[in-house]
Amino acid sequence: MDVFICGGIVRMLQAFVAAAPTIVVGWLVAAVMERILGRDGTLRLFGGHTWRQLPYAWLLGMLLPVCSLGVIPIMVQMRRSGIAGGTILAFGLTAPLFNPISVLYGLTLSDPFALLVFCICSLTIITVMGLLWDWLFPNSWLEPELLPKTPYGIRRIGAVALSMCQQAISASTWYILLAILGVGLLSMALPAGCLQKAAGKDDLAAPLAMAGVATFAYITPMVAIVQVASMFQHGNSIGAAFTLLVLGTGVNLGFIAWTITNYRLKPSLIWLSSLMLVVLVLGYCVDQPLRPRGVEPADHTHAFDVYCNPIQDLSSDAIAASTRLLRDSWKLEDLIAAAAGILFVLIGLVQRVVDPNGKWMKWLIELSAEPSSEKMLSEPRQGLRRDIVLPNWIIALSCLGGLVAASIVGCFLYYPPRSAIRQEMQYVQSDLMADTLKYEWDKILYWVPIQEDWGHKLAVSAYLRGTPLTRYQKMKLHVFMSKLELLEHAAEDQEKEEVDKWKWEANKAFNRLKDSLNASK
Amino acid sequence: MNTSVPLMKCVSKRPSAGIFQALGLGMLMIGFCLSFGCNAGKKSESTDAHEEHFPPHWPETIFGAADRLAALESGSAEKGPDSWVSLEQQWVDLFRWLPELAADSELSKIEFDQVDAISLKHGISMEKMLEQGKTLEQMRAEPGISEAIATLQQICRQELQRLQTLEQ
Repeated sequence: MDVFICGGIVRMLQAFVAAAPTIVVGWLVAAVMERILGRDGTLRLFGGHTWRQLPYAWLLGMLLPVCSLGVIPIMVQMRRSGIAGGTILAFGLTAPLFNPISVLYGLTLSDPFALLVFCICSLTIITVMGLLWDWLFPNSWLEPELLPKTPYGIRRIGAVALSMCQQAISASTWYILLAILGVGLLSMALPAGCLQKAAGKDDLAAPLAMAGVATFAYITPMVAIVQVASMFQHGNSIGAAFTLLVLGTGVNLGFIAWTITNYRLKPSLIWLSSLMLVVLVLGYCVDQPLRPRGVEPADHTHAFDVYCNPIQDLSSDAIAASTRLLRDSWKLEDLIAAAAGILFVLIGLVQRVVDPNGKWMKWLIELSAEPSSEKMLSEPRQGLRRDIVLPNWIIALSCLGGLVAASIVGCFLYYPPRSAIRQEMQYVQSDLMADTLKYEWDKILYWVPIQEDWGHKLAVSAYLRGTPLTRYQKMKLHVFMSKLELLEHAAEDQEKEEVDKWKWEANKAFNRLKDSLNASK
Repeated sequence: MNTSVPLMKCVSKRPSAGIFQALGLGMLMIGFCLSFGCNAGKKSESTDAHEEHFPPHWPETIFGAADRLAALESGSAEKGPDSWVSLEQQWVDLFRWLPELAADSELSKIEFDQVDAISLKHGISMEKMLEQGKTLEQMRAEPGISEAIATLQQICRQELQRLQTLEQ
């Protein structure tokens, strides 16, 4: 019993920490919508009630770095701004699905054509579902809420910061927590490794089973793309991979609850069932044509272990195992974001207790009694500081350009130069070899995914910097990754002889990869 | 004016209803995925990684692939007692696997490129012939096949000699 409960808690904490960066981004975007764009500005940003609303939802959804949890506060703001239900739901599904970093990563993992088809099919589904909603339930928007305008200057920045704290304790947080609870329930219901054979190539029920799992699961865009590519590489069901991509990244328990709460049970159920149906039909349609040729189907996959209970040994000390699992899975940047998220919640709670009437925000957004203060809303402030009030279109273009620029910079930061990656891989390989010599199973299983990750980053980095890997280097990398995978399987089964065999094979392949990279210098 | 957004008050008259309905749906979905997804074996079951990941006719090395292709070309190859794969399928697979096997050896880039070119040239055409239901005899009668296998064997012979010299 302890194992099931601890396993569920571990998965919930892992999901919270993994989602923390995008949840904080979600609060920031929601605060900007509320305090800078205002209701009419947000409505205009999404194309008003014209044909442009769905394409704009796509575009903004793909540029904003949010996941299916971070998107909820934004959807709340969109709803209050009078945006149509179809557009909100389309945005809610698109935003977590793709971002530039995950798409680039995915391109190195699987057949680019298959990934392109997946992207097109996903966006088609989202458009169809948005149109279907607006057709079935027309005029599903609320009258835009009246919001006082925020004056320009430093107080507006303060208002955005305070609004972020308020977002952190708003109703959207309940939905986020509900989504995380869904992750915990799922892992409590699924014993460790029980999905290893759930997505076989010829398993007709695979997309259906994946629809059930993916609806609950919380997956970051990056994890989704890695899992989909892994399914291609292992010859798993392509229909199941497609279902996982659309439903796993877009839908979760919090999203479902938000939809039901805002649009009532019946319309929500009709829409969700239609979504499932369309995804499954398309999943079954692409299954055969996109099946990769020449891939020997593996009889099992570990791609879905992350949805199951993480504690494999039922007789182990559940608390100790949970602590170790959490320590191994958390990354520093995610922990910093989680700490920031908790800080926003704490400030929000303090503000609720100390300032129940909202005087802080009132002070930040109200106009002063000075005669010139009315002009602060529309005119530049005169004087020594000479604040300039920029027209909205410049701000909008700057934001859009900034998002694109941030995406590009983010890609270059996430994929460091080839030389830096090679050095990191060398360090990891040394640690991995040392641990294989001592048969430290946990450490081997810790290092292998990190090394695989660097391998994928190597390919993307080379591509990004205009010096893509040659066919020779690609094949050397492929061989190295294959050996690493075999080493991982041997370590999972704790087979010493197999580990001995594959560690030398992997090391030999690594040295060959290094030589091939050095030769091109 | 109170501008703060109180918990559970902002979007709905009865937000908790949505949450409970979603939870109810959730429990149904868990039952659904349990019924479909959990009939698989446990992870701790020990399995032979090699058998799982490699088909029975996987040749292990580029030298093995060259020998097997030569045997298939001359008609002296047998299917093998444990192999369920037809000789035609083996023939096509071997052509497709050549680049990976070459990359898993000490062949130089120039030699790798030669092997890769053989695979690219004949792998796809052989695969198409297999899909059309052609026999092994028809496949090996394709122009350029004999020369390709001879080149492959020569590359392998040179590499073996180089390795033997290094050992001595």
